[in-house]
Amino acid sequence: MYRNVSINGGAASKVNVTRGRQVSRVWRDAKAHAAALARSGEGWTVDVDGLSAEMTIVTRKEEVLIHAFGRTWRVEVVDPVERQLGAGAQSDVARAPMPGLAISVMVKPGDVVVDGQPMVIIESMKMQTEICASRAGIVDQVNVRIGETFAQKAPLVTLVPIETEA
Amino acid sequence: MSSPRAKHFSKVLIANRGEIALRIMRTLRRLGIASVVVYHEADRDSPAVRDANEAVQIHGEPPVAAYLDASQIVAAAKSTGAQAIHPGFGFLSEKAHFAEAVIEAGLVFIGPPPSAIRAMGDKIESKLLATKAGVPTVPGSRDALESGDEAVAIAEKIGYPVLLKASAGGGGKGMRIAHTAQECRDGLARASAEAKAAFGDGRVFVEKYVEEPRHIEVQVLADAFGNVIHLGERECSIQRRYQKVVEEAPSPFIDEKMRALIGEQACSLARAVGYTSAGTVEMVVDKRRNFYFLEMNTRLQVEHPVTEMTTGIDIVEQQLAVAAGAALPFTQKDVAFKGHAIEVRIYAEDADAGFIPATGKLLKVRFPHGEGIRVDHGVLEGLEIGAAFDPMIAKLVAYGADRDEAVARMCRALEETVILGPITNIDFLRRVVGHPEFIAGRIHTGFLTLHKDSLAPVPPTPDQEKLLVIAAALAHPDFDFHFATPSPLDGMGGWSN
Repeated sequence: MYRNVSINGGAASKVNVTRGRQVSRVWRDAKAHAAALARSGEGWTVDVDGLSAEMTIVTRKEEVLIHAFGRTWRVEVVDPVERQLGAGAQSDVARAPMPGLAISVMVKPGDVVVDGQPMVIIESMKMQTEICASRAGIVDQVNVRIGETFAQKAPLVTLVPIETEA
Repeated sequence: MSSPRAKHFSKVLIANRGEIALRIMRTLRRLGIASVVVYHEADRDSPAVRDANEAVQIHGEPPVAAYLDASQIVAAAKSTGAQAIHPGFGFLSEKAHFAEAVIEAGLVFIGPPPSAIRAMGDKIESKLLATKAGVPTVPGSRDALESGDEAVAIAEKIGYPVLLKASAGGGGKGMRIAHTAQECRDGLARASAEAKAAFGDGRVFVEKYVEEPRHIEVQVLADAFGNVIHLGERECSIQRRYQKVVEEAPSPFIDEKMRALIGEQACSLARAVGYTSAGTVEMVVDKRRNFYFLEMNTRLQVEHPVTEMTTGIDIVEQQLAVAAGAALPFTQKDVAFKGHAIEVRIYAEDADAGFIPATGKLLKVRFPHGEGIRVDHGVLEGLEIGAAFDPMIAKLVAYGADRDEAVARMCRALEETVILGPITNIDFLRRVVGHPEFIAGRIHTGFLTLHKDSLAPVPPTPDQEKLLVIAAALAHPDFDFHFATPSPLDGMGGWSN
């Protein structure tokens, strides 16, 4: 089963691996490469078709973080099937664009909001930002109170659609 | 340049956290003074708490409130027998009421007298003081604005663009630039509301907005015997959201004559306000080298290391000595400037997405070392960078015989710095310091906006991309079930996930 692999949000390659004892075979967009990854001091040495580089590597669920060539790279490794299954059940959630502190909460569950209506004011980077409704709807949950801090992408307010059929 | 009388203190409490707590601790340790830190639960596993001689837990919600609670901190100093409190920067460092509480408790506040903090903490009062001391100030309103009409009238007199600025503001909070009467009215309302929410003081004044301004500041040191000297200037023109990102000493824009002039002006202001301890007089300098007083920071600055590197003077040591009642051990003519130092602030933030703060666990941390490199940090692998505090991870300082050498060392040091986990601005800083206009010293506070395009990240070369994609694939556990091992059990294990 292949994975979509992309660097720093760039275009994805289709990648598949057949591991070998020393040298593995890696298909990248249907082209095969002889490759090896070996421990080297605190990091790793990667060899591909005679090219080689020293890297520091950390692996997370859908992401491999690499320091190499004097820079940091975020390499996404995504299972295309899982990604598609996960995308369906998205409810309408206003998420925090950045970590911060809630300084004003203007809505409560049951409130009707219009498209673009400010719902929460957050403070981050010493600046205030309004979190607005991305469409008209009814406030379902408010997950933040004044004075509370939250992480990036935290769901601040969830909306449900307004039922138009009476 | 040690001053034996600094040993007057045997125990000092540090009312701060992170890298600055560790940096103060380093000088305390060298002088044989025991250190006490206060900490919130969220910082329990931090190196500052680990390395202090004593640590006292304080409470607050959100966590930042603990470090803003003067009474808990003073109580911690009393209970541990600390004789003095060093506030570091941020938090309570520029709160006169805190300095007063420390003094009332019979302890020593390591910083200027409360009267000086109060006078300089108010942007309107400090401007009046500067004018009286003969330091030029940017033309603008004398008093807080009463209405949008008044703001527009003054703006039209001094000419657009103008800056609307909260009296109690700082770090960009409560500040707006206006190019038209309408923007002026809106800016006043927004700046006032923001300042009122943040500082409980909505007073705003208006001043001429200096275009292509350079931020240049003078470090001063003063003792209780009326000796005031300066340690030269720092240029901090590379800023994002009114916050400094890259600082250096000396400024590539300043010659010896001007250094002496602004140095003397800064000293007069310090004298006028009865200043003691370390302080910084911030100035804005226009294209024609006219300089205007901005504000005085009555504390140690984040960027103090570049001055320490170029003067050889430990500023924290001098603060301790002055607080203990010693005279400055040197005069102006003893201060010699040597070489060039650059500091960058490493933040957990996505610089390419508008400097959005990032959070997450530090999974891999490796700082550079080598000749001329200093790293001030307070982190550890496994530590969580949360939203509760400032996202600064570390300060990286490079020193060289001249600016070119300092730049070259900084570029290499940034390339060698590994922080994996939250997104950081390390790569961005490398592009800033390696930018031809930065190398040429052609900088001002709009640098990052002006050069946004040429500071954008460069995509990997085809060879780099191939190596990165394949290394990531080989490192990723998703591909484990493709192991070419003939054991059926291995195969089953693989298929079951």
